[in-house]
This record gives sequence, structure tokens and C-alpha cells, in this order.
Amino acid sequence: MTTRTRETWATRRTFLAAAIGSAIGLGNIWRFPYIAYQNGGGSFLVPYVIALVTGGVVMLFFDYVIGHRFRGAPPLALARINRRIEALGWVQVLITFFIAVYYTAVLAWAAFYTWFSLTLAWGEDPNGFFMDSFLHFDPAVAVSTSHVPALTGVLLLVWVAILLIMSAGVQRGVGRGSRIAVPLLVVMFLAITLRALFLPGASEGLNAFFQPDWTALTDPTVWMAGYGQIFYSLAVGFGIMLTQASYLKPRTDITTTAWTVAFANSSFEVLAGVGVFSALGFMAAQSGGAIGDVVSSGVGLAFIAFPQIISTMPGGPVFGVLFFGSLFLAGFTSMFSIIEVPIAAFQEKFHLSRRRATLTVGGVAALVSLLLMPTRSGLATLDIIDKFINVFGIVVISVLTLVIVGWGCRMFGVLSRHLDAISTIPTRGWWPIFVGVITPVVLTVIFLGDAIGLVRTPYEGYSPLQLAIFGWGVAAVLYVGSLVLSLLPWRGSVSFDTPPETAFDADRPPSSRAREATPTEVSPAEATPTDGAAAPMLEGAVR
Amino acid sequence: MSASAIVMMCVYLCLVWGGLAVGAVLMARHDDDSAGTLPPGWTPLDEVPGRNPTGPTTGTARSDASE
Repeated sequence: MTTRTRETWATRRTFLAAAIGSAIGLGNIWRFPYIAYQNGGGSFLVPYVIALVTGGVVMLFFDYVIGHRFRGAPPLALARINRRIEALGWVQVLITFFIAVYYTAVLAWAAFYTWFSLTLAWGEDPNGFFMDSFLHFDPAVAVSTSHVPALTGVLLLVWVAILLIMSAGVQRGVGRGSRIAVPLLVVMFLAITLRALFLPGASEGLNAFFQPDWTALTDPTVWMAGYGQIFYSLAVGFGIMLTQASYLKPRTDITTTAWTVAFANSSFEVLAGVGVFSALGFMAAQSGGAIGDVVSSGVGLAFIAFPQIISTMPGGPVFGVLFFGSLFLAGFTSMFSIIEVPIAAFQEKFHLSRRRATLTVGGVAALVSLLLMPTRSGLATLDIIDKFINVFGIVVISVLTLVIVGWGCRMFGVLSRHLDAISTIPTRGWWPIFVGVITPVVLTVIFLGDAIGLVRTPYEGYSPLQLAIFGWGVAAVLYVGSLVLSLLPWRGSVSFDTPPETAFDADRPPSSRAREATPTEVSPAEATPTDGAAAPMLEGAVR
Repeated sequence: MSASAIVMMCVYLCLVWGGLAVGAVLMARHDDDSAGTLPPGWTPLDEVPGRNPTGPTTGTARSDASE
């Protein structure tokens, strides 16, 4: 018989570094500034902060408490709530798998551009350089097998670096890596922002970013944008935060930790907005145009607009190294938690060692990534997978998990009492309303808006073949694959009971818990399906 | 920058960074072992004397091959 002890974060600081590193990603730098500008500028603060507290923080509580209480990646954690909902966990695992596949490609681009910044290699035409000279992008090719050698090599290096860190384990690999990378990222971006603030035109950029348009608050789409930004930015609802919390010590102040992580993420986001719009103000001043003419988001902002800014500003190469280095670090630290989900899930389901799970799962993800991304059609493939995963993966599974776990398995009361037993910020009364009613409604509205658009018109004008394979095909793989994986037997003997060390319940006196403190090991045959693992605790205690 | 933009920038930064400061202060004032409504003398199960120090384990697993 083999006994395997679950790793834990050594200190709260280590977990905070990993969690903040996970939350701060590419979207903080290249999505938030644009979303805020497009949705009322300064007045976007109102829906943004309301969404942060009533959507982001409450969802983070939900993810953290499930991971903490049931101590597993999504399939095991959800199976411990009810064996029949294991498939929901596998959908989350496959979502993170596909995100890892394309996310690393952007990291490889950022690594290249950090190097290119030294010589301003993009010259006078950053757009042409990025599309033609760098990516060799051919929009006419639906599925290319022609690889760009340099890009393939650097992508391989990025994967090797990530898997080396992941194979070292949660504490030694991810924890140590995050404790170095996250402070470095913050310092680098502070330097970028300070430099950008002193560029000519910066104040005009900031004026465009913060000028309030109060009429925007009457537009429901602005409120949806606030919630959408918070959900995507915090990466809640699809297993990442849940898995990270499964490594927390049994006695951890979960709600305060979640609050801190959420506000740290937003603090970085607003800092990024200040830096990006100061730089865009400089760009507009140089071109003699308006901010609205130069503002962009995503790949266009990072790899086309910023190179233009870097080329024209004093000290551009240093600024470029800091900017693309930050982009790389933000994505790199997020990748730890993204790829951790499938690694931990397969490790638990198939009783693999950490190293074997990392090499197997990470190896397959790396292979798919290397096959699809550094090709002449890689940019389109990345864009399509990203869009469909976001809409048909993340949003759908977030709603399903909330409704099925919270209402179907009646877990909101149990989870709320678990949180209150060990946390400083109380959840009693208010939390189930926000996480159980408001959040699913908002997410459903977001889903309907996006899904109807994708069904009615081909996304971004891509060919039917591309959309069928990388859009609808990937979405189908998420759900069919998760069903298949959930039907496979668990290797080894795994307990599907709530682990006793985290079966907190504020209503039960410690003496009754002490009597239950017998280490048990339950075979699958003995395991009782735990429709609400804590069903006995619910008796007379539903509030 | 216009006055309203400056005001909104200050409010933005105060609210978001203030929220972060609140979290930091709460963490400094409440350590993990005393947070929440569990009685102060409560002992985590993995520290109960005589109990195997399993720590936070997921189900200990037997490999099929070794059974």
C-alpha cells in the first residue's frame, strides 16, 4: 500500500504570491485598460468595484472553500460533494488544458519581443513585422502544418521551463517561483508606469482613461462588461483557484485571503491602466491624433501599438524590455496555476506521481501547443480557441457549477459555515445570495449575449472549417471528453468522504469533532456517495 | 487632465488600493489559527495527540498493482 501526503503551501505569504501571480495575467495589462475606456472611463469604477465585491470576491470564496474543504482538483473535489457531478470537474480540467495550449504561445511571443526591444527589431512597421516577418501569418490558410522554426524553438523552451518548475511540486516549484516572480513583476510594472507618466501627452491619456461618462451607467452592457472583466481577470469558476486552495493548510483564513487576492489583482489592473494610457497618450501626441484613434487591446495593443510607442520614446529599448518582460512574467506565473489543474486532476484520478503526471499531462499539452501554435495559421487558431473556450467553456461551467453544487447539492449553507468557522470576514446571510443568485444570472446574460453572436455570425470572419475545428470542435471536446474521463475508474483507493481535517462546521462543538478524529481510509466500494458530503451537518442548521 | 478625471483617478486608486490595504490589515491582525468562529482551544485534527500526522491529505491511495 502506498500513502501519499498532499502538499501544502508552507506559509500564507507563499500562497498569496502564487494566488496573486495566478490572478495577475495578460488580461490585466492588455484587456482592463481598454474595457474601462470603452465603458465609461472614470465612471466604469462604479460597476467595476461593485462587480469586484459582489461577483469576483464571492466567486473566489466559492472556489477557495470547495478546494479547501474537499482537498482536490475539480474532479475529486466535486466527486466528494456528489459522485455524479465529477464530469463538471473534468470540464474545468479540459478548459485549463486548452488555455495552457495557447497561453504559452503568447509567452513565447513576449519572450521574443523582450529580446527584439533591445534593437527595436520591428523597425518602422510593427504591424507588418508582427504579422509577416515574425508570425508568418497567412489568413488564407485554415490549418497550416508549416512551422516557424524560431518560434517553435522558443515555445519549446517555454514549455520546458514551465514543466521543470511544475515537476518540482507545489511548494518548491510554484511557491518559490511565484515568490520571486510576482514581486519582480510589480516592481517592473511600477517602473514602466512611472516612466510613462513623465512622457509628453501622458496627461491626455490619463484624462481619456479617467474622464467619467455618467450616462454609461444607465447602459446594462457596461455593467456586464464590469462583471465580465472581473470574472475573466480573476480566473474564477473554472478550477484554477479551487485547485490552488486545495493545498492550503486546514486552518486558513480563507475569506481574508480571497479578499486580498482579489484587490491585489485589481490594484495591479488599475496600475496597468495608468501605465498603458499614459503611453497611449504619448503615442497620440506623437501622431497628432486623438486617443480614440490609437487605443486598442489584446495582441494589437501589446505587439503592435506598444512597439510603436517604444520606437518613438526616449529610452525605448529599456522600456520595451520592462514592458515585454512584465508581460512574460505575468503570463508565466499564471501558467503555473493553469497547468496545475490538469496535472493535479490526472495525478489524483490515475494515481500518478507528481513527476509522471507533470510529464504526461504537460507533455501532451506541450505537444498540442507545438503542433498548432507556431504555424502560419497559429494566430487564428489561438484567437478562435480563446473565444470559444471563454464563452462555451468558462462561462457555461461557472454557471453550471454554481447551480448544481450550490442549489442541486444544497452546499451553500455548508460552505458558508465552513468559511465562517475559520475566516475573519463573515459570509453568513449575504454570501449565498450573491454567489447563488446574482452571479449565475449575470453570467447567464453574458453567455447569451456572446453565444448568440457566435451562432449568428462567423467569429471574426474566420472560415467555416477553422471555426468547426478550433471553435465548435474544441467546445465539443470539453463536454464529451469530460463525460468519458468521469466514467473511467479511479486508480487506487480514494476516499470520497469529506477529509476529516477540513470538515469544519461552526455549529458543531470541537468535542464531537475530536471523537471523529480517526484516520480512515475508504475504498471505493465502501465510499458512500456524499450528496452533500456534509448532509448530517445540515440537520437543523440550514440558515 | 480635467478636474473630474483627477477626482475619479484619486477615487479609483483609493478604493481599489484601499481594499488591498484593508485585506493586508485584516491579515496582520488575525492569524490563521485564531480567525473565525471556532473556539480558541480548538485543535486541528492533524494535531490531535495520538493521531497519525496525516496533515492535509487527500485520500490515501492504494495502487491496484500493490494490492
